Amino acid sequence: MMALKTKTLSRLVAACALLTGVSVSAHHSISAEFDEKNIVTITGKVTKMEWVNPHAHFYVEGEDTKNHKKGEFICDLLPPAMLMRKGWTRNSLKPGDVVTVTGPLAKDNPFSVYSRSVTMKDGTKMFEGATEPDVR
Amino acid sequence: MADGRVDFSGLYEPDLPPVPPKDLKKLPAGQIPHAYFFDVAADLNGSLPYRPFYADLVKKRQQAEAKDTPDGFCLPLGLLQLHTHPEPRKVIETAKYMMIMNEANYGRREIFMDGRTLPKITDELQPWWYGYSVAKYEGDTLVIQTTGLRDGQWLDFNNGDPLTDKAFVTERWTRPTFGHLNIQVTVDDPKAYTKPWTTQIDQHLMLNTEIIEHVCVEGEYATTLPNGDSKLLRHWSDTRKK
Repeated sequence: MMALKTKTLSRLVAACALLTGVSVSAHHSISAEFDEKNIVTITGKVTKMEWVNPHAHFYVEGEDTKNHKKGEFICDLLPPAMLMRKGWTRNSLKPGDVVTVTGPLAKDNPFSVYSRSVTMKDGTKMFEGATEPDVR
Repeated sequence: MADGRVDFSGLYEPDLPPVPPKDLKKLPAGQIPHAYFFDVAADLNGSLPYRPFYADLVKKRQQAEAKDTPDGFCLPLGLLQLHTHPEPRKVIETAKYMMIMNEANYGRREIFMDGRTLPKITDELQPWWYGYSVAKYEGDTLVIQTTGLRDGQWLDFNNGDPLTDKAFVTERWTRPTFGHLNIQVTVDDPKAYTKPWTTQIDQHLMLNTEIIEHVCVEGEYATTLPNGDSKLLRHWSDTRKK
């Protein structure tokens, strides 16, 4: 039920953004879309990976421990080519993996984060070498 | 090359990171600055010689945190962004022809070295994102000239430095040491700048890798409304079931 509510909220935010002409989860300038002063940590389970341009991204059913928000978060990464050159693949994260994601929260969507670091339950750093530099 | 000229063919990436470091020191006056992906003249001592309208435009682009940067809409990278983007580019050079294939956003430039001249700028000429380019060697320096550019371009991703349809761009390519490339770019754009200025990019060869397909637009469809706002039409994640 919580997930459903969250998805509805996310879509509502997206719809409002569309009405006001602001893009959501689009290809973007990091500084335009995400708030560098609002770094959050999301912990939860991966539900899906989308290995597509312009930004690979995955979904986490979990909690923003800073803002105490629970739901499904979309976590942006660099373009797939930049991840692949560092050895990461579309199967590097799988549904059910427990992860902690840290990065700036989107300015217009409390369930969207740019992934600066992605850490597995056992401490493994995912996408290491390809979470920086921030180029988009 | 067979005739003894430098062959620039190879896969390259910039020496510098895309984002200038916060503690970047400005160069002494008169030295050629270095181009970063985010700022085409980051260590320039002073400001680029903008004309007033473009000085205001750059300020507005920065105040808007680069939300309208063309690459943000999967539109082509600016001409200099092709050199500064962190993803690799493959240079293929023959005796009379050069192609530069950028991984990022499927950028592609053709440079003719067969003695042809640049097209005359008339109303008939269709301006291109990367313009029309010809080149010739001056000793070991390859000199590329480009004109016929599309108006409204961004030279860098984040700073919003302009490039207009009146621009004439000269690149001077040299190989200071094997595996290293230095490109000095002079922008002569009287519409946007009061005088020509020069920046430079250093790149090095990449080993054991190749271009990876990067079709920017596959994940989204975005457009700009008549009032200048951006609007997301559709996102890939909305088109597939979980």
